[in-house]
Amino acid sequence: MNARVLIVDDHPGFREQARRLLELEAFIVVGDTATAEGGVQLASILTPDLILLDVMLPDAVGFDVVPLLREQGAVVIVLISSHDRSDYGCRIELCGADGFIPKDELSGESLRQFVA
Amino acid sequence: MTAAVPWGRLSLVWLAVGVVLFTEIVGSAAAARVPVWTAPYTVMHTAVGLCYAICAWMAWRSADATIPGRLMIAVAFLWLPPTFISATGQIGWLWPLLEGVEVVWAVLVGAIVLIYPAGKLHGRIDVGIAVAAVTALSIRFVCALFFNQPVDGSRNVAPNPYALVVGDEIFIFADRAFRLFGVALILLIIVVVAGRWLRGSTPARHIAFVMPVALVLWSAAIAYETLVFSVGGSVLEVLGYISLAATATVPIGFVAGLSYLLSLRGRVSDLMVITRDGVDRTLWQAILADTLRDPSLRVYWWEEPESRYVDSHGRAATPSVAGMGEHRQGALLPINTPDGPLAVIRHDSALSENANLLDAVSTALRLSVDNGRLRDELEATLREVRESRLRIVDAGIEARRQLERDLHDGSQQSLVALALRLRMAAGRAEQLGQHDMAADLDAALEQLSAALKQLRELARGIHPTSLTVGGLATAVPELVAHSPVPIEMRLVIDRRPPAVVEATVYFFVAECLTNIAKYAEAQAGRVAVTASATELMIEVADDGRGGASLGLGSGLLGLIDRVETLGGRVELRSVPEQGTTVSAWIPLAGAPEDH
Repeated sequence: MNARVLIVDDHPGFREQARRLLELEAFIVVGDTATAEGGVQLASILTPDLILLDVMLPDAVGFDVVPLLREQGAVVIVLISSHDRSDYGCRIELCGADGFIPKDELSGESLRQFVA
Repeated sequence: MTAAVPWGRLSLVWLAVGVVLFTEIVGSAAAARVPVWTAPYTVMHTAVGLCYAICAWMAWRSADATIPGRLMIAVAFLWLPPTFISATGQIGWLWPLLEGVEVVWAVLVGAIVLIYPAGKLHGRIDVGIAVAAVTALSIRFVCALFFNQPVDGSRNVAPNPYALVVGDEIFIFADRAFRLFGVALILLIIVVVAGRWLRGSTPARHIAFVMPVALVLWSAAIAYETLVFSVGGSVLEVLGYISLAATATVPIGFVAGLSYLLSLRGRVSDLMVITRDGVDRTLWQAILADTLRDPSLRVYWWEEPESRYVDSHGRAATPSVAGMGEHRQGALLPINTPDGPLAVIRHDSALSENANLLDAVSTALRLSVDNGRLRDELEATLREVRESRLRIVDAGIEARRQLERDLHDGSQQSLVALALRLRMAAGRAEQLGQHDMAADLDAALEQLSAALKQLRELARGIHPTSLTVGGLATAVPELVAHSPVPIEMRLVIDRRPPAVVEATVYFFVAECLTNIAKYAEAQAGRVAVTASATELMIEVADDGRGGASLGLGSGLLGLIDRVETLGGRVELRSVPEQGTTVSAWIPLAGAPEDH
């Protein structure tokens, strides 16, 4: 079964590229949004299997959004960022996300490990 | 009060001493007077003359006016012992002159009493007394010169070459009349001085109390002598001594009063200290009243906005001499600055006699206000400079943060999108079986990842994302993790401090860790960031070679500036071979609350 993905990122160029890349890799991108608030709403409506959540959103920091998304149900949350993992210290682990992928390393293969 | 010795006056004093001693010795040796003076009485008489000479010198040294000193030295010169006048009886041209000036000293002593303490006559009554005394003295002098030719052998003297008529009855009458008139004038002076004393408040009494006492003693003795002399009796010897003592008390009292005034000036010096230290204006009235020993003193302050005077309690009031109390005269001392009125001091009019004292008081008040205003201006300027420095530092940090954000939102995002596109292209090439192209695209992707990594490093140096996102709790561990020297870390931060403080601490720690890595040759280091309710304490230590300094070329200098801009301070302890510890304290109040 192909995983259903929601992309939450404020850069439209990235969302577009990520959608195309993931669809090419047999993921189903059910929606995308630029804000944390939109992400939480879409997550409740679309019930995706996996959410790609940018750390630096215009209305919130991704780490703080993770618990809100968790309330929507059993969903895999993967944080993404154009920064390095080391920029965030232990917050990635502490926030409750399932993983972190630097944006430039995003690929079907890197995502599949979370939805195997 | 000049510092240099006025040699002319000193010579005059020594000359007066010489004249006193000469006349007393000559008079005593000649023994021409009947009855002959006893030795103790002569000594006492000499002492009084010398007393005037010495007090003249002291008055010159301490009084503002020169008149008291001049009068006293004149008394010393004219303190002619009757024994000396008797001794000159055979010198026809001299003895009438000496008899003419015999009692001038008494008029001068009266004048000294009247001009006390300001060195000038105080009013019309004073002037009237002086004119009457000088007139009477002149009449007596004329009589002594021209109507003073004893004929019956009662006085064994040479013929008077100035005599116009034979016989000395006119002179003797004039002499007795003068002495009686003198006693009346002295009584008047007592009344005037006593009235002045009663009307005066505490300071006036302090200053003047010696004089009426001396005057009463002196006048009582003189009056008694005169009366006894007029009726032809003999004077009690003890009263002679009292008279001499009273005469000597006048200049001594004068000089003592001047010393008191000088002590008041000493208090004004204390006032200057108060001025320097600054004092609330509500306290000035109490301070001045104490300084000038005038409990009736009031200070009225000018309120510019309302154009009115207020008292020390801030209540509207009109400066007035009313309400000083019975027997007291008040005076108003306006104190103005180039900008307008400052205050009015209502004080006992007795203090007006010392213009220098009041000048000093008003100067002190003006200086105090000027000092206060300058201090306020300086503090306002310093506050502005501090706030301006803080804004500059804050703006610098904000600019770096913006630059990092621009890099993140611009170049980084474009490169990330490019990376994804390359990855897609590589995937497609692989699907199409174009393995060479896929390999080329993978290689390009690797290069792109390396470029992105460099860009991230650059952005981190400008302003670390970790600091923006997680504050010191995230950013300091990241710094420590990147350090090539093992660093023990201790963070105690309950809540995030203001952004400018966070950034300052971060770059401070970063610079210290860079120094440890580059220069310290350390085996291990330690970073501690501890926040209390009021301040943040940062300590970065190593076990390296020590000997570090905060001199020129140290990268810490700019950071110390930043720490000090936030009101903090930095300390460096670096002993050769015993490691280096850099500590900083930054207050948490006052920095802009902004993330």
